[in-house]
Amino acid sequence: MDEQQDHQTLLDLVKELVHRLNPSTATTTTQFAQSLKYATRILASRMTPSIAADESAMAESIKRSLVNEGNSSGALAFADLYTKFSSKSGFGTIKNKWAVLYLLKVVAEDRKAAKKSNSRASSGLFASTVCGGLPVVFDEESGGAKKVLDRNRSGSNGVLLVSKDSENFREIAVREYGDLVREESEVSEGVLVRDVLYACQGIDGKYVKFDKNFDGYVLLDSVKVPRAVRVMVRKVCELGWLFMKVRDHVSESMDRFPAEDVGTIGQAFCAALQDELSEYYKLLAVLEAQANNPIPMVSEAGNSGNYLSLRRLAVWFAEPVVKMRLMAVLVDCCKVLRGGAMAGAIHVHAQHGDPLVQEFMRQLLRRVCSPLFEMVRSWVLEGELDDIFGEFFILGQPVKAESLWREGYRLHDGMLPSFISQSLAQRILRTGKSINFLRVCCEDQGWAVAAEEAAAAVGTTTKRYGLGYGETDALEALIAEAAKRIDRHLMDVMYKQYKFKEHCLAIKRYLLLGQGDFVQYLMDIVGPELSEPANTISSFKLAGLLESAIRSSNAQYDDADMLDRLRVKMMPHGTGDRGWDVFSLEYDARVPLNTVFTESVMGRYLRIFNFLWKLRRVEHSLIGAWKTMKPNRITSNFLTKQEGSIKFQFVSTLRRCQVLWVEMNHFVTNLQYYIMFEVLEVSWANFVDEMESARDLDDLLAAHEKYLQSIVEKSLLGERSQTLCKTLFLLFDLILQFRSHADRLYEGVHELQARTAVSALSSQGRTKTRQKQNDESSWGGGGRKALTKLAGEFLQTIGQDLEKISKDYSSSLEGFIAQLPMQQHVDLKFLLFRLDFTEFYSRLRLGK
Amino acid sequence: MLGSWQVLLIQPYNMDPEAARIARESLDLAFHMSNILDTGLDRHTLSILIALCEQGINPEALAALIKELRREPPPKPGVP
Amino acid sequence: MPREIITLQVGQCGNQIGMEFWKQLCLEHGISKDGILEDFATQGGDRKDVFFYQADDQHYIPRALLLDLEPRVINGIQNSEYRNLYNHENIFVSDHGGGAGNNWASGYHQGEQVQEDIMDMVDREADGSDSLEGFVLCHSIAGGTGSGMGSYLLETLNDRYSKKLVQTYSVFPNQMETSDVVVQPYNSLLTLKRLTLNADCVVVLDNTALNRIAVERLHLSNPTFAQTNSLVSTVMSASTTTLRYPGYMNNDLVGLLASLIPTPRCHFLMTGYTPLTVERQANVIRKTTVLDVMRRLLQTKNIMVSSYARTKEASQAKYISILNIIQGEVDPTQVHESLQRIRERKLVNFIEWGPASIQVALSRKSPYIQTSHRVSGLMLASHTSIRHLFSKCLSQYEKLRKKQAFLDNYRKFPMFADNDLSEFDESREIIESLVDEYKACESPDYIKWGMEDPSGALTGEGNATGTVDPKLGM
Repeated sequence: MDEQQDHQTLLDLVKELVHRLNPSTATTTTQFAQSLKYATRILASRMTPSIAADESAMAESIKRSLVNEGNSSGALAFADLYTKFSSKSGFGTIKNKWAVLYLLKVVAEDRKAAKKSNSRASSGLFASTVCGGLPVVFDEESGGAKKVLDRNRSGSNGVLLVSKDSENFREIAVREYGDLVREESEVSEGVLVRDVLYACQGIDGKYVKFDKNFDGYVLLDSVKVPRAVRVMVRKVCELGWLFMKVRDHVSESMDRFPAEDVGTIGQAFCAALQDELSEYYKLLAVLEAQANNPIPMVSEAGNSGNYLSLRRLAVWFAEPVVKMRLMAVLVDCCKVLRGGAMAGAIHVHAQHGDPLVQEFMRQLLRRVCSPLFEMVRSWVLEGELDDIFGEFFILGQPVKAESLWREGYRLHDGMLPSFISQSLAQRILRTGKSINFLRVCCEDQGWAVAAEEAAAAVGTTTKRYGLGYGETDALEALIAEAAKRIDRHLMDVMYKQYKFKEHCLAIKRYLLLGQGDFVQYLMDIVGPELSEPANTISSFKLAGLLESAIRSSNAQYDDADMLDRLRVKMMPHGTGDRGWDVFSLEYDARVPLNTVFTESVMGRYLRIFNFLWKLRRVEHSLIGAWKTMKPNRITSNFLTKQEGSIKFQFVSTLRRCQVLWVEMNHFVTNLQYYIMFEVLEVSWANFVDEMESARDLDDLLAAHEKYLQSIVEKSLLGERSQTLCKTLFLLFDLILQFRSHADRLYEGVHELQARTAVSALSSQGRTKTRQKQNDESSWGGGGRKALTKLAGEFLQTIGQDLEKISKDYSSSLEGFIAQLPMQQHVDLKFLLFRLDFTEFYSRLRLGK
Repeated sequence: MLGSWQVLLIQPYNMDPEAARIARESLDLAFHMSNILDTGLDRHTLSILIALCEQGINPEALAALIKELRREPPPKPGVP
Repeated sequence: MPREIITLQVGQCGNQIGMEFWKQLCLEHGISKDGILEDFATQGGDRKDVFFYQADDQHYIPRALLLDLEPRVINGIQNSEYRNLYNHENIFVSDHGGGAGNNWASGYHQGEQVQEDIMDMVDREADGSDSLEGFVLCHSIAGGTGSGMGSYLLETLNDRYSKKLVQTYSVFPNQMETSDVVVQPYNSLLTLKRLTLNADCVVVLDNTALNRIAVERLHLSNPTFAQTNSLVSTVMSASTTTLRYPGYMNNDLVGLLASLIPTPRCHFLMTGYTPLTVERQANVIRKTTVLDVMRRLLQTKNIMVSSYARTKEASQAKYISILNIIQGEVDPTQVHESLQRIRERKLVNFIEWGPASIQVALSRKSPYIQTSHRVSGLMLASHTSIRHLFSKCLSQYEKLRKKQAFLDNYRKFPMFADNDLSEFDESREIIESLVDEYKACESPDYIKWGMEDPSGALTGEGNATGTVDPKLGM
């Protein structure tokens, strides 16, 4: 075969190649000629490759880069093909296999680079990350003109590409070292490599076994190897230990499921780990295949094939060990954790400076958190708590409808991952709670529309599995939109459909006695009934009386639905209780309003009612007393015409009664004014303001709570006003006692008056008939003298009784007034101001 | 020297059947590998390239040529 | 059980102010001149049944009795647009229609003679009520019918309905100008006795002050009766708002009066009103805060009883009680603030013998009447200076009595027959005693008043002398 023929063949091949690569140009055109010329020039310019022709190293390098691209199955297939490829021999085989491989590799890289260069000019960052810390030997033979690595290409990927070294200094040194090692070792490195590979799959090898004491894979002590090898084996075998840890966790978790609650997040975690392990298995398969190739003697270097040495293994494992270690750490810290807690714990480890780790963790967390975010999504948009394993940071428990809002759901702090803030969690909780409240308590369908609107406003993240870890902004936006719309809808439903404000007003009117005419008639008609012993009173009859009080007052114009909720309530009574002690009104709030008006809230309303009712009764009774002593009821009386002490006794008893009435009335009236203006109206005005600015049910509940609490406190019904309240009720009782004495006094006086009229009639003969004659007088018959005597005795007894009440009243009132300024927790200066408007009591104390 | 590869391409009918089989198998393997590496080369082009390699052409030079020819239409006259 | 109130309008003046009162009430409740509820009057919240009842045909009919001894005023009403408002069975004009000739004795006597007819009407109205609260009497004290027949009715109501309230709106004569009724002092004195003994509450409407207000405050050079009467109707309707618009407090008349009248005998009330307009002519919109209203109500120029500020004793005068009824949109928190300012500035003097304070009732305003002011206020007060009004009445009586003038007109009637003028003397004593009691209220020792001899009381050797009138000892 002469050169001429060779050349011709070559030229034909090049021609063919140029044509194949540029099929558009016909072989006859000048353009083709140009291309051909260009091609021959390029081919001629590079007579020798820049790197040594190490076929197996080349194959290794290709495999490595495939693995690095995440294409481990590709790597595996490649390894397989290559094994077959390299084993071909005889006539017809490709002789220069290295060249073919090298060509393929470079073409592939060029192609990839060309694709990438559109978006990114340089892949330097990536390259440097991958190459970092790997041994690279430069050929310095030709004064640095020829580099081992083509810097334009992403390179050797962790495989040693040994350059041609004609001087062979290194090789000689290495060969000598190798001889030395071989002499020291009983076991060949190849065997060790295989053992290590076993270990890395969690299997004991012949020489490398798991040592429980050491808690790791070690080379048996009996094996004689250099210390460095032993150390290296141990080091490489760390991967095995880590692998076992991860694998055991995965299999344990899988075994437990579904019997025990691994939970969806635990499952997702296991699945993610399992995928990582699969990748790892593929790598191991590739490596195992390589391990079959004998490790060449150092002397055979330069012909470095596709073999594995411990050192090579260490390089191979550099990256898997990082991942495996991370996974092992996660497995460790997640062992006892579940659900949100697990996600949170993993999240803690994602805070890492290494972008590789960060990326790995991000991927992992996306998968792990996926079920969690799905729970958030369906909770916030559908109000569904899909959490059979108790992994979510919101806990639900079955409760009655009225406590659904308060107790139905709560945050489970333990399950709240740290990447969701407490306040965000609260908002999440409330949004789903609102939906559930609407659905369960309000029987509302409109929430779905609100949720849809919210979803539409936020966009794609609301699709199933649309939310992911790391997208905090999207999550915030979703929650904000959903919360805003759902809460607005809930407020609408509460105000419009369930007339929250109207019910509050009805409660104010009836339970807080705001509807004065109604209260008055009620008191008028139930009064006689309530004076009976409590156990003889029929609540059925009282209900009838309530009904007629409604009908005869302006309450009749109120919404029937509200009137229907107003009921008589008889509290449990003890012996000796009168109707007054047990009578009260209640308001049936019903679902959903009973979320606001809970039993305990209604309990407090009841206490306020009882207080106001009592106050009203006392006022009523004082006005009753006034009616018996009103101006035109005492016209003249013979007693005032009498000489001597009886007249003064009469005048002074009546005056004492009157003056005491003035004091009591002043107290009760001003207490009433205080209650109306400073307590009920002011609290209500504040409540209405807060109601209007309330954005969600919690706001509303808080506003109502504040309203109610302020009434309780200011009405002296609070915990800390107990002494004051006791004094107040003592005063009330004294006033009621006074009423009966005053009645007795005036009944007596009217009788006397009647008798006077009779005597006036007989003595003067005037034709005025003012009073019915009353022969059945308790004063008995007899003359004026006897009458005067009787009157004297009567006035004395009554006078003494009044005196006693007056004294008790004064001292109690003094105590009450003195206590007012000492109440630190509630501002009672308004009450004090009213009671002592003319400084009458201040003067009284100074005068003492 | 004219190797079996040239024979395969130029004179297939002249070939020893056993050698042709091995050559075809080798080409198949190479083509598979090429596909895994996503070089974008078709089977025929690859066979030409292998032949060129067997001729002792520097693979780097071949790669450079492929890259150039793929990247752009052939250079204008006057460009070296 | 609406706590009904029956109004008795007696005499010319009584019927005139009564008429104005009903006009005002109809406007406020959206009731037409025929007594039909207007279509727009749907806002509710008001109680119409205190003063009206509903006939079968949905007519709202005032619980009112129109009584007179001469037909002029009542005929006027019956020919007016309001002729269908009243129940015609409730109108009484005496058969002869000759009136009482400005003579109390004549009015009283005629009242006695027609009492059966009138009391039948009263009883019928009372029977038509579920829970009668009481009666309101509108009259003047100076003429013949309102004073004389009014007096007789007061005694009769007191006798027959002793447990019901009797309130009067009593117009006192203008003492600044010479009246055409020369016997006015006699009539006033005799009526005052009944107001003292037989009424539970007397709202004093002093024509002197009403005229002064019309001239000074409303800038009317020659105020007509219609104009002063509109002031009266304003006061009357305002003082009943809390009964007609129920709230937390002051929903019945007795509760309202009980706190205003702590001492039974001192039951004469003064009124003040702000802002004042006549016939609801739109004034300039005035700045009206609660404090402004309450402060203006304490100014004598707004009070509808003559002030005797120049008298030496005026500085001693004290409030026994005050109730301010504030109408309109009011922030309840302003009330306390206003009270505080009033106390700080010492704008008001209260009695010292017992606790007292300004009571404030907030009431709704009728939604059917547009007014130029957002807030208006009425003051009802018991003030000891009212005794000067009575003293003036007494001194005018003394002057006339000394001359023994015009007594013959009275002797014609049974009460004064046989020259028995003891009724005059008794009345004078009672009014004197009333003046004394008001005076006593100005002192911190009111409690001991009438018992100046406590040692005597103890030893049983008391003497009957001193300032005490035996009849008014309490």
